[in-house]
Amino acid sequence: MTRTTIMTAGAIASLALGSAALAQTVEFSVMESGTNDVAARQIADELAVAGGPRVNISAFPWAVLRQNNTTDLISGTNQYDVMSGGYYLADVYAYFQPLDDLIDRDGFAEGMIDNLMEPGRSEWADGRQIGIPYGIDAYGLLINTAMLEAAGVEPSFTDWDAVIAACPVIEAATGEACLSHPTGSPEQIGAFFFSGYAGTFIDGDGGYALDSVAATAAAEDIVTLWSFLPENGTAMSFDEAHAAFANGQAAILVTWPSFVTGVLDAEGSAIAGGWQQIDFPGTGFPWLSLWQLFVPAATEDREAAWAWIKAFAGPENATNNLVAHSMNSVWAATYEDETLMAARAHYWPATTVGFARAKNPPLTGEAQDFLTNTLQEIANGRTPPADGIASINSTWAGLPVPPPLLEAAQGSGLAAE
Amino acid sequence: MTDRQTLLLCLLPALLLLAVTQFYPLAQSLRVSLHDWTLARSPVMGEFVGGANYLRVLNDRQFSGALSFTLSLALGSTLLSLAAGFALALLTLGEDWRFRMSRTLLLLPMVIAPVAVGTVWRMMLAARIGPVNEALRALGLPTPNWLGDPRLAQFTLTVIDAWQWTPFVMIVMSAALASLPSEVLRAAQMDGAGRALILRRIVLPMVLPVLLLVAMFRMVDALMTLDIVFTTTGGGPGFATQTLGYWIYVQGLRYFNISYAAAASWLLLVLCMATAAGFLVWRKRIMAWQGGQ
Repeated sequence: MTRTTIMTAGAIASLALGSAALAQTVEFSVMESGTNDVAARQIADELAVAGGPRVNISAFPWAVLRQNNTTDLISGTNQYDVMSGGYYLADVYAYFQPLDDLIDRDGFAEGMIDNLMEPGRSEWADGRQIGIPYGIDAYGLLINTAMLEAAGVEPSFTDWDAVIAACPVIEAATGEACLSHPTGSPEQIGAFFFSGYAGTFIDGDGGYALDSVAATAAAEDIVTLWSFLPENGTAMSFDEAHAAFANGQAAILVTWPSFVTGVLDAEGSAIAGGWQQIDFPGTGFPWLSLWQLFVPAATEDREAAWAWIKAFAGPENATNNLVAHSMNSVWAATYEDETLMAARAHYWPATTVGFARAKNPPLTGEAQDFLTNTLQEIANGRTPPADGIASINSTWAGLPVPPPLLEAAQGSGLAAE
Repeated sequence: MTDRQTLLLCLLPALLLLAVTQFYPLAQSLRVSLHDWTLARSPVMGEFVGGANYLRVLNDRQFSGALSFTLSLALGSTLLSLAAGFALALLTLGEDWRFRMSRTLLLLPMVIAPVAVGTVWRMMLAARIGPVNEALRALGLPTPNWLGDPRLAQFTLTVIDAWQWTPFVMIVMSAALASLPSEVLRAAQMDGAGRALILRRIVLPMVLPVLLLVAMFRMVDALMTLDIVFTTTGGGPGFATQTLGYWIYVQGLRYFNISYAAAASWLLLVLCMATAAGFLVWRKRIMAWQGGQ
C-alpha cells in the first residue's frame, strides 16, 4: 500500500471517528430557571465544538420537569438519556442505572464537597449511587440591611419565633412588609416547615408520621409569618417575591439564594450593596436542593451520557457556572478561591453554613404534595394547624416509604429508631 | 339483503371505530379500577381487589372536597353562561351585518384553547402586577387577590369557565331564537303584548327545551374541568380549587396510582351520565307538557 493511500485512509478514519463522535446525541432534561438551563446550553455548545456528543437540551419549570421525567420513565418513552432531578424522584429510582463504576473509574468524586456523594445527600438505590450532584443550594434568608438597621433589629435569628418577634418592629419602622416569599409556588412553603420542625418524618415502623406537637407548633408559626407578607402576597411568583425584596417593599426574603443573588448584585440593582444572607433560622434543617444527573437504565450510549455528565457537572466548568449562572459549585476548591469569596462575602459564609446543615426531606412526591398543600390550607386559615397535621398523618399512613428514602432518612436522622 | 342488514353493514365501520376508541379503553379502565396497581411500583397489574378502590375514593376527603368544588363550579358556570349567552343571543338577534359581525366576534373566547385561556387569565389576574388590578388601583378601587385567596379563587375560576363557554350558549340560542315562528310573535304584538311579556310568556317557554339541552352540555362539560385549573391555580391555594378532573389527573398521571384514578374516573363518569339523564328526563317532561298545552 502506498504512503498516499495510507495517509488518505488515516484522514478518512479520523473524519469517520470525528463524525461518529459528533453523531452521538444526548437528550438532556433540565429545569428552566435561567441558571441550570442556560449553563447547560453554553456547555453543550462548547462540548460539540470540542468533538464531544451533541447535547439537545429540554428545559421545563420544576413541576413540569418532574412530571415529564417520571412519565418518560414509567411510560417507557425513553426520550431522555440524562435527566436532572433530585430526591423527589424516589418513586422511579428503579428506572435509573448505577454510575458508581464510572465514578470510580474516572475518580470523579475527588475534590467534591465532603459527604456530598453519600446516601442521604446524593441519591442511591440498592446500595449503588445513581445520582451525580452538579448544583447545590440550601434555602436562605436574605435581609435588607438598611431596613433592619432602621428598625434596630439585629441581623441574626435563631428560630422563626425570633423572626415573628422582629417583624412588627420592622414593619412599624419602615412602613413596608417584613417578609417576601414565592408563595405562588405551593411546594415552597415546605421550607418554613422543614426548618421549624425538629422531629422525624418516618416512625419506628418505617411509615410516614410527624410528631404532632412539634409539627403543629411549626405550622402555627407559618400562619403568623404569612401575616407579614406584602399586600396580596399569598400568590407571588418567584420573580414577584424577589422584586418585592429588591425594590425595598419587603425587609426579608426567604427563597433559594441561587435564584436571586446574581440579580440582587447586578449593575443597576436597587439593592446592590444593601443586602446580605444570614443563617437560616429554625431547629429543623434548611431545605437542601442538590440537583443531580441521572441516567435512565434504557439509555443506550452510556459513555456519551457520562461524557455529558463530566462536562456539565465536572470541576472544569464549576467556576464559570457560579460566576455566569449563579449555580453553586459542588467542588470544594471553588469555596477556597479568595477572589470569589471577597466578591461574595455578604452571602457565602451563610451559604456554606447552610450547605452543612441542609437535608432532603425523605418524602415521595405524593407525600410532599399533601404536606405542602395542607400547610397552604393552614396558612390560609381554612384548616386549624392541629387538624391539618392530623390529616397529614392520616393520609401519610397509607403512603409507602420507598426503601432508598428510608435508608436516607435513617442516615440523616429523620427517621425514628 | 334486507334494509336492516344494509343499515347494520353501513354502521359497522363506525361501530368498530367506537369499540376500539371508546368501549375498549372504558372496559380496560374498569378492569384496572378493580385491581391494585401503582405504575411507579410495578409495570404489571396487581391483584384483584373488587370495589376496594371505589370505597377508598368515596372515603377520601380530597375526593369529597374536589367533588364539592366541582359541583359548585359546574352549577355556577352553567347558570352564568346560560344567562349571559341567552342575553347576548337576544341582543345580537338579526340579519343586519352588524349583528352578524358581533356574533362572530363574541365567539372568540370559545375558539381559544382552554390552556391558553387559563394562562392568559393567570397573568391578567396576578394580584400585585396584573393589568386587572393595575386598572383597579388606578381607579382607586380595591385590588382583590383573585387567585391567591381560596374563596375568591373558586369564584374566579367559575367566572373564567363561564366566560369561555358563554359563546357556545349564545350561538345555540341564536339559532333557536331565529327558528321561532314569527307569526306567533307578531300575533302577540298585535294583541298588545310588550317585549318583556313576549319574552317571558312566549319566547322562553318555546326555547326551553333547547335551553335545557344547552344546559346539559354545559353542565357535563364543566363537571370535567381540568385545563383552566391546571394553568391558573394548579388546584391551589392548598386544595381549594381542585376539581375532580384535576384530582384524577394528579392521582393517575403524577402519582401513578392508576387503579385509584381509574375508580375515581368511573365515579365521575356515573355522575356525568346521571346529570345528562336528569336533564333529558326534565326536557322530555317539559316537551310533553308543552304538547299537552
